[in-house]
Amino acid sequence: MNYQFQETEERAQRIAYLIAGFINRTLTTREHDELDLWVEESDDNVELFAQLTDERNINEAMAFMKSLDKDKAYKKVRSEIFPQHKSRRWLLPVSVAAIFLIAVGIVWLIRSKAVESTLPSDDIASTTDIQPGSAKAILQLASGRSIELGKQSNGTIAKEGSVAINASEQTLTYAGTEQSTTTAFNVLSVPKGGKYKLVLSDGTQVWINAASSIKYPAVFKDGERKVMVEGEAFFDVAKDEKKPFIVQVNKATIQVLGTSFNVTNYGDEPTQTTVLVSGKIKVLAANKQQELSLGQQATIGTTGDISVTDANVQAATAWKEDKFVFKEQSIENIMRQLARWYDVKVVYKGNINYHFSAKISRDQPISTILRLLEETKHVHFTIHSDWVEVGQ
Amino acid sequence: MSPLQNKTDPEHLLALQQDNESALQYFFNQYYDALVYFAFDITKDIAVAEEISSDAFLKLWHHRDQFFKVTSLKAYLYRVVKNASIDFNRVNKVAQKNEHGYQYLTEPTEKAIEEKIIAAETYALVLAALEAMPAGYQKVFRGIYLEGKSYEELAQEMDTNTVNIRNQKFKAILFLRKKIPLTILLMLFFI
Repeated sequence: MNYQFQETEERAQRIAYLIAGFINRTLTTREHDELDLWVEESDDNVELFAQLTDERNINEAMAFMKSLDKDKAYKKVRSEIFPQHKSRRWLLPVSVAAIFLIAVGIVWLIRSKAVESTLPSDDIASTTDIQPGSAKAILQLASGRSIELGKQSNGTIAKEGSVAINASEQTLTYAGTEQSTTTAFNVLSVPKGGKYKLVLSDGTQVWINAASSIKYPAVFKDGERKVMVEGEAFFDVAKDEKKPFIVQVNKATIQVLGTSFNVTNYGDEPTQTTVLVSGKIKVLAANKQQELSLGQQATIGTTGDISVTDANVQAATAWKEDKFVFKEQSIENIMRQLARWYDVKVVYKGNINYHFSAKISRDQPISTILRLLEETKHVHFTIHSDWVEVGQ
Repeated sequence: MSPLQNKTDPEHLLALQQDNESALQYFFNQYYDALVYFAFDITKDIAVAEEISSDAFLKLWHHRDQFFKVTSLKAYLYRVVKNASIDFNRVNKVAQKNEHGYQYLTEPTEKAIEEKIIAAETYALVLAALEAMPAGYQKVFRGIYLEGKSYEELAQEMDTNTVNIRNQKFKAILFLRKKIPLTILLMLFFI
């Protein structure tokens, strides 16, 4: 697909060279013949050639291109790549903090002065919003013991054999490379409204999304590294040519050497998807196998058939950067993701036959994204304590 | 003055892979005009076309280690701009749907996209050749070939005689003949 486009582009490049040469009167006889051949190939080509060599069109195009401020445009690009003026960048957070302090000060003043005569009437509105998810998970050790992970986690929380298991607020890390003969499987479960990061004993990093779990050995045995995933996870696999990394999902197996990719395997989603971000992976399902290259995704249907298409990598992996990126998604698809992150139920009143695109941080309360979607005027939401009503 | 100034495309490509920002600027200067023209052709919105094209270079920077041929880099830029432009149209058409009560989406075919690339590339080449000419030649060349003026008209306009204009035109063509094979042919070789 990509290669095909490159071919198109290369052919277009050659034709453009010939037509530009015709306009500039610089073609050699042979090039002129080549141009003639192309023009005679089809009526469309004759028309395009006539259009492009029309002097009014040439002048218009020259004027258009000359009017562009390339330097200014480039400066903008550069400033986005290399953010400069660091001192100025501080201004915004500092001023926001200042405004916040002033606001707190004012509220405190008002409250302290009128503390006995006012009722907290605003509080109802603020409690009906639903707060975003946060880092939390439950670790189940091979012994069956469960440990809650999150805000309070700090330091070594357990040991499997000689492997120390360390936890911080957002990350669980296995330290130690001991080769064991018995396989102690641990399970890390992230509830709805949660997320967590896992660093396996080989250094592989796994980001786990809400309502997902992963089963893995505390230490990988010789031969292969195998984990099982339910839900959604992003893998950045540590290179080890001798031990292929294998991710087992419901209907498929993903084989990896060293690469990063996203896996979606939710029970409530109609299909499971594997998106490759870099490197090379192989997807096996129902005795068939498919190799994925950069920017591709494999979708596994209910019968185990694999289809490979170009992926929207940004949309597929946005959750890892704590963003929602929806591209032409039905409201049901969007609400399933919101339900997992905000831990809410969704009730539909009527059908919404539109597709939506949106990009937003998922650090916000649910109202922020719902209001954004409402801007389209094609959908309306009512937020209740733990459920959201979707209507027209 | 960047040390890369007199380097070729492949050398700039290598420099880009090695995080050299002036290599990005080099490709920006070469392709920005054509990409904006191409995006405008699809979106009919100049501000959007400029933003989409700038974004394509941001993306290029983030994936700078993945290009080993200038053709694939250029094809990548066109692909990114094409997709973003079509996406923009989709979103826009969705908004229009509200007024008309039904949805219509006309998307350019592969063939139409190819034609739009040819147009953008052709005009970028013509502009590059024109801009490489000394000012006097440029005026005569534009006047005669692009604006279709007669020698007399131009002579009057430029306050000179037709013999001078003929001379200028001749020089302009000689200049192009020499200049284009040197710069553009060279470019084509390496592309």
